[in-house]
Amino acid sequence: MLGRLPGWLGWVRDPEHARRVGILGRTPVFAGLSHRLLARLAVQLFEKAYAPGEAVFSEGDPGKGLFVVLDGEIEVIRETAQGRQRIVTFGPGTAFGELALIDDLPRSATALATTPTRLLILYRSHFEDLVAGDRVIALVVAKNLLRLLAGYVRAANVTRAKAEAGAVPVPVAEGAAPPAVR
Amino acid sequence: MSDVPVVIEPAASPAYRGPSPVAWLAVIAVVVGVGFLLRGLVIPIALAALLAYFLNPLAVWIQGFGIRRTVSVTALFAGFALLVVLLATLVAPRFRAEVVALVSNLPFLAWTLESGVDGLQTELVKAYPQVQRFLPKEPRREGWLLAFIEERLGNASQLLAHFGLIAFFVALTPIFAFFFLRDGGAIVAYLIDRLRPVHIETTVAVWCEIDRIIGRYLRGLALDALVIGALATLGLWLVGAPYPWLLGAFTALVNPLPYLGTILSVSVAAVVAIANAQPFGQIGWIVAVFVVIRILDDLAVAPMTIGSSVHMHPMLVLVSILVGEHTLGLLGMVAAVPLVTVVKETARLLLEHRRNLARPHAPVAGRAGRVPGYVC
Repeated sequence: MLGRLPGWLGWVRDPEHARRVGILGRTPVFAGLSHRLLARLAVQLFEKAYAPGEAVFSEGDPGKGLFVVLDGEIEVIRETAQGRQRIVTFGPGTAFGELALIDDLPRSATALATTPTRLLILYRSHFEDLVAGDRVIALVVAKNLLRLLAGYVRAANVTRAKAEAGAVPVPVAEGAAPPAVR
Repeated sequence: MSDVPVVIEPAASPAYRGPSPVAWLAVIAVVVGVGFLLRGLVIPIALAALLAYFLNPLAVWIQGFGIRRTVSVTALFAGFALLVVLLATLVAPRFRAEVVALVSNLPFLAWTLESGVDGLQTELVKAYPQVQRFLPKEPRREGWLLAFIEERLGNASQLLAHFGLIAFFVALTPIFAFFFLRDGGAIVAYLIDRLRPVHIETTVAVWCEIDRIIGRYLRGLALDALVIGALATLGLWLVGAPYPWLLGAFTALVNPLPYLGTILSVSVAAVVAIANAQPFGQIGWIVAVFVVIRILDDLAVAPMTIGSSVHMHPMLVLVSILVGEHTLGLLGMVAAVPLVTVVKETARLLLEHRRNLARPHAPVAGRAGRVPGYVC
């Protein structure tokens, strides 16, 4: 955004902001947004550190925000009769909980930090403010969310077919749809 | 990223490294203690916090260009200072001229109004003698209106006696506001980083939602009052009404009052016009100006500034205004509705949040052999 500034004015740039913009640009939910829109989005994020074992959210919590992994690792698990079942793992540069940008239905699994982890949090209220002010954000993100949902549906269909054929059922997580079935 | 389900051992209990409740209590005690010691500065601090809250979206907008917070806030304050200087240069002399004219004309205006009221009363009693029962037994002494106004202005002159203190507050407020605005975001980020993770997805999100709705409402209210005040000044000036700047400022001040704001503005403007011996047609033009402003406000300005997300029952509005008037007079009337709206909306969102937490959520495990819905 401030790339054309002369070198002596470099001190006005916020390096932390630039880092966040870079990370958001690589996140599938925000893919296709211009640098300017990503920059506007980046100032709305909160950052939080989690220790290993800490829950980001628990099953049944109302979904209120999207999480982007800055550093560390997040494991999504679900309690089953067989014990805790790991559904998916998220590493740096990935995002999870994106459906909370659409509604606040309860989370259907628990997200735990497995290593010291830093997350960026985008609350739906902040996201809705941005969307209300710029229809391009709404359009691009809605398209990306539809693409992700289509991926989940296809993955679910494949898994259901496998389950009906006698294989073990595999739950599907946001961001867990393998690229081959998207 | 793995997409293969694996049964894993239960994780160790979360290691929480945030401050304990005792530490939070200690911090609150220190804040209260400092607040008590600095109680003389409560007004400038509260005004500065309010100013910072109003300006924060602009600072965030500048930050959105990838600019450091300190630079954004400094640029914003430079612009704000420029605006204040411009207003002081262009608008303040007109206000001063109108205030001087009003003060020098006050005895004449009061006498005109008093004669008008007394004449009207005499005519009324002559036409309907039964009205006499509702009027004071003893006749009013001459100059009662001027005495009443001077009594009220006596309070104002007491206020002017504290001019030094007011100037000190006015100078301190932007300084405090600068630091609130510059460091407020960092303090919130620090607090969020220290909060228990369980509150991140629930409580903080609710406070963000409250901030969004209340912030939009309060900023919209202020912007709406500014626009309506400017329109009233322009309209009154165009129709040649007396004291357009003062009456415009009064219109802006009472604009947050639902229903009563316009009635008060029209009444005051009409009374001032009558007292200035303006022709009767002038009153019609003044009423027409306020009717047009009301329509513009309802159809265009208020929907664009305040929006329609916040509603209050007319009865609640009326009770709030009455309580506000009883407590703090005109200022209380103006502040009552926004204050009650803020409390009502906060309570509504918190209750909604509690209901959401209590609501049993749909089962997600699915039937045996079926693939459940999406997780997260």
